[in-house]
Amino acid sequence: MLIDQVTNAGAMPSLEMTMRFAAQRQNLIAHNIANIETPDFRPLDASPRGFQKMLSEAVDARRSSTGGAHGRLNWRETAELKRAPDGGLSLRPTTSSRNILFHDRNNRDLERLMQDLAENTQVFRTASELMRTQVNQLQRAISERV
Amino acid sequence: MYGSLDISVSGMIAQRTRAAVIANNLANTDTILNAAGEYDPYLRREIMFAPGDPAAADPSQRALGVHIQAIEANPDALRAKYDPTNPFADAGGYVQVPDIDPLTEQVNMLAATRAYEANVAAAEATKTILAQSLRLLA
Amino acid sequence: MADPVGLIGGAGPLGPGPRLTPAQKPGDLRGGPSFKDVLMENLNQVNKLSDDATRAIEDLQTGKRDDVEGVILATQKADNAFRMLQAVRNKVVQAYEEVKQMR
Repeated sequence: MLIDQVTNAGAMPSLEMTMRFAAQRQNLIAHNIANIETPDFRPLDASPRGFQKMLSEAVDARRSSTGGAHGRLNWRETAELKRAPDGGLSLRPTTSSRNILFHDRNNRDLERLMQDLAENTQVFRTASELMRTQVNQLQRAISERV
Repeated sequence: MYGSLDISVSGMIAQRTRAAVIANNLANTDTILNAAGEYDPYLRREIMFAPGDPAAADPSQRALGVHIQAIEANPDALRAKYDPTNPFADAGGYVQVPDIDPLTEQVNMLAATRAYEANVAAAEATKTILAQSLRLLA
Repeated sequence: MADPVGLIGGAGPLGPGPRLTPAQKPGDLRGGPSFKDVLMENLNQVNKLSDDATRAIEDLQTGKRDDVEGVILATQKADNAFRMLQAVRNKVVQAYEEVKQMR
């Protein structure tokens, strides 16, 4: 109970989810980029909107049950977001069907892919830096004389 | 950790190989003899990509990336050129020569270059994410 | 995360324990968990987190998992938990030393 509060304090659980989502999505984006010249290729993706919606529900539930400063994040599995053996997030990508089809039946937009790449990298870095500040704050709180 | 750059590197290799195929086509636009000196007009080579990377280190990662499925000679890539003085001309004075359009090949070369650069950017982004994870331990 | 260890207002586990109302006599509160039980439970949790982190690091080395960020997060949790336990231990030892001085 004491340790639980320390490991699930503040925004750390939600930042952890975001970091794991962005890191795994990076592989999908790299895969789509590697295949921009492959005919009949369907890009794989995991929807960031879907992830944020799921995370929003879990955060709201946590806030209403414990006040939001601590407590485990109970998140719901979806078609794309599954639970890994260690309890964390594991992506099961689905095939994206947006964009027009080119003559070789590969529906890709290089610009969108590069945008996804840059944005996803930025999301990861942001979550990681914020996690760092949360951890530092927690450690200062622990080590300071009461 | 090993194999985290496999996806992007497979893309780079695929595009670089494609560039080599295109360069080979351009170099052989006028080749009508084979290595033994016989009449055997050069057939345009075409490269086929397919998703997935059978060469990936980790079996679970083999569904991601790209690989070269085949490099095929197109048997229809010949056109008839009127040249009665050529020793290999047929009865009507036509010689079969490779049907390779430099403009098409160069446009394809540009696409391959662009795709190669995109894969390099993806590899850099993956490296950034790995480096960023490590900052948490600092 | 304004008050991660519940120091302000005794909101968290480090706050003052249950109070006696005027009607109760000393000894009526014995039903709750003892300090020793609380300590052992937290020790077990720290051990588990530490084991999880060790396993995560080993799985990363052996190739059973390839998510560096997941391993780092697990390591971090174990580290924070251990620091917390260490801080509690230091406080307890300090309190004991003070009591020992009261001769």
